[in-house]
Amino acid sequence: MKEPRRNESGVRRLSLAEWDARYDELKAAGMAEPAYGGRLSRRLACGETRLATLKFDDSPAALRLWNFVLTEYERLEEARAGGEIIVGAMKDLGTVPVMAFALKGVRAFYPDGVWWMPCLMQGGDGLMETADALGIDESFCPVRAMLGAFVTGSQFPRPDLLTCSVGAVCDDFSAVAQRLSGLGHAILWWEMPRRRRPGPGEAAVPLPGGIAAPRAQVDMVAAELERVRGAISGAAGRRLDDAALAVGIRRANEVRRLLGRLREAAFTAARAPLPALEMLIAEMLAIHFCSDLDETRAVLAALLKTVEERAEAGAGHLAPDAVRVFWVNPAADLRAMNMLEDRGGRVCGTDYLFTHALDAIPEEAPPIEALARSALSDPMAGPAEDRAARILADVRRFGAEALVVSRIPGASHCATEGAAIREVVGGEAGIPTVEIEVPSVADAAEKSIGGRLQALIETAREGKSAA
Amino acid sequence: MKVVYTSAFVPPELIEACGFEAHRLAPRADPRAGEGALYAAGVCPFVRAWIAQAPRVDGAAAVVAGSECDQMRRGADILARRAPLPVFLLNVPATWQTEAARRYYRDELRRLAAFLEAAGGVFPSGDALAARMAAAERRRARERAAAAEAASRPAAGVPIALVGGPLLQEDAALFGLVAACGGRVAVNGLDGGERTAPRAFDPRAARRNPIEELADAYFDGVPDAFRRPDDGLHAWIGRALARHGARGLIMVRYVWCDTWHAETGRLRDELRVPVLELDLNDEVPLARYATRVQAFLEMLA
Ligand code: SF4
Ligand code: SF4
Repeated sequence: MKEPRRNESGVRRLSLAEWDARYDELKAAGMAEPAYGGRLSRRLACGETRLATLKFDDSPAALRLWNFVLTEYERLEEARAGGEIIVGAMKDLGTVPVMAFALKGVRAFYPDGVWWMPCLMQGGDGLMETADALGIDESFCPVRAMLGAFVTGSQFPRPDLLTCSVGAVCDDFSAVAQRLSGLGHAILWWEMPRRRRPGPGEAAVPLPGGIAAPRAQVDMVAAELERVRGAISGAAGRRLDDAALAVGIRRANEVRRLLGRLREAAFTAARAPLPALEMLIAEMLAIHFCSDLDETRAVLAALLKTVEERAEAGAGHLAPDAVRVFWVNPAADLRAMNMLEDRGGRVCGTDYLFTHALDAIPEEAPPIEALARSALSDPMAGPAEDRAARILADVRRFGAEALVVSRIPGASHCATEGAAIREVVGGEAGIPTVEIEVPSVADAAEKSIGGRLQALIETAREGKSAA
Repeated sequence: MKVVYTSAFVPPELIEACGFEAHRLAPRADPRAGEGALYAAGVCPFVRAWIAQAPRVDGAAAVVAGSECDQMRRGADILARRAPLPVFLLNVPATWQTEAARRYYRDELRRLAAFLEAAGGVFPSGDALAARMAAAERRRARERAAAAEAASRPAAGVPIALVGGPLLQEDAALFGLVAACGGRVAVNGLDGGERTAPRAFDPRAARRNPIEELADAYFDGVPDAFRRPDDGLHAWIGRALARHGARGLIMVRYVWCDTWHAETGRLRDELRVPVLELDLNDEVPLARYATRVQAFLEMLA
């Protein structure tokens, strides 16, 4: 096999086949792996054929990340077999999992994460077809795959407790979860009010991320989380008390801090120490710790070490003058991240819909109140301007030179939000912006997506040289 | 001066008690002719039209939107940025089974009253609100009696139910289309129909604490697709179909409306009568749906 091209800094992006050779090399050199380790190519036998079209970072830390993420549902099955309680935390990006992991023997996962299965399996999972048959067609976002996963039972174990945040959430998820409930799956619905700015004279509470909400809204969410606490305690057969929750919050914050350091190091290094694809996957760990909080810490710590070493050595992917791009929304096809890099763009700043799960949960407040504040700072619970303001601040912080809004097919928030974000960020930061729509398997759209990304990169380059 | 609204959870009684005329706007279709986010692909045609036209209503002093769906919430954000008038987003909880959700809705109505006062009205006295509620109750009682009387008369046409959200002005012609195809709308489960009327006010409770009674009557009385769970909607549909002997149901929803679209599958699973889904679109004239409506009614006849 041809030796993959290393750049002059010694870092490579590998195809799946190339990773096999690299794997042998690392094993021969004595690489130790966790129980879920192995060659990435073995996942093809599970039908995850999209992997064969991706390019991966060549570090052992990246290998561990991929193996960790790809084996989540198998690890969940093992946990279930070992008698652990499984909580499915739906539409909740980073709150209920913190609570669930605070009780030993309880594990949370994120059923919405099956969103990426139609991409990974290039449609071979049949999840979308199952959703179609239930009336949830392609006018909904790819999260409809979750309905297929529950109905077929083909992906993850049926949770002991299923929670879902509703209210100020997208219509897609709320509708899909309701269809699931209508099919007989018991769901604990908890309310997330639409966040608003406190009125004049109204008691206000600061939230993570530098925003504020009225005291009444924080109290409302806290009351809802008390119900969730009761349900988790009920499922586990023991009380989730404040002391355990406080410890759980501290552990979650360790993950968030690690991720914060990883983002900072990766986005500010002279050249990209880790590709956009691995950074995207790493960020997703913040939401529910990929069903294993301790292992998440270890995976992130290994990535951080790699990134810091590469940054220190000036090693990395892409050319040092690659255009610095801020990416908004997760792409339904993971290959979109490769597409950007293939055209000379480097991700330096992201908002994958859950920036609130990157901020530390306040540790000084009583635990439920702290979680309520964290949950309310969800960018999706408030107006698009709040989200745009945070993106603008991060664009400036990381020196992004262009902005990509990755539109999610069918998503209720994407219809109008991309324009609002582009207006604010493009206008205030004066950088070129583009909106692309990325379906779960974007091969057919690659030419048009690639063309738009190419044009963005070239515009940003021209702006750079003009400056 | 008018306060423009559309949500079934914005009580007109409260708007009137604050000194305004309550104007429930059914907008005209506004297909993709304009500029900006509202005209992007994926926007619900009703939201697009309503947000564009609400601030332009003659004599409008303020606009009140409801938070029932993501699209309308985001539309209200756009409106708040652009409109020359004050805009209020009423936060209606999706959950209904807790005291906290009910209390939250009551507080939202109080916040609405304070907003309307700031927009040039008055904060309503208990008596003023109770009087408006009593008047609305009398009017609704008359309407119910007239509807019952009409229902007791023999009527031509296959009885069907229309269920769904709000309609653009042009699409109100759907009632005529059903009649022209040999049907009769025996159950109006659309926004503005009998589904969205609040439960009858309890006169004693209305005198004792009018805003709480008002809030409870709407909160408990309006079954809707956005509520979680939405069992109240399905129970209401089941009762309404049985009461009026409807032989079929037409789910009327706009393209890109996830909330109502997702109901169709469950209705098909659970109802014993056939269900037709019409995905209306402001770019497609209603007449184009005639063949499907006709075929549906022929099948039911
Ligand atoms: S519409 Fe957006 S927020 Fe909702 S489930 Fe889909 S991707 Fe997630
Ligand atoms: S039709 Fe659907 S999307 Fe449009 S305003 Fe109504 S609930 Fe929202």
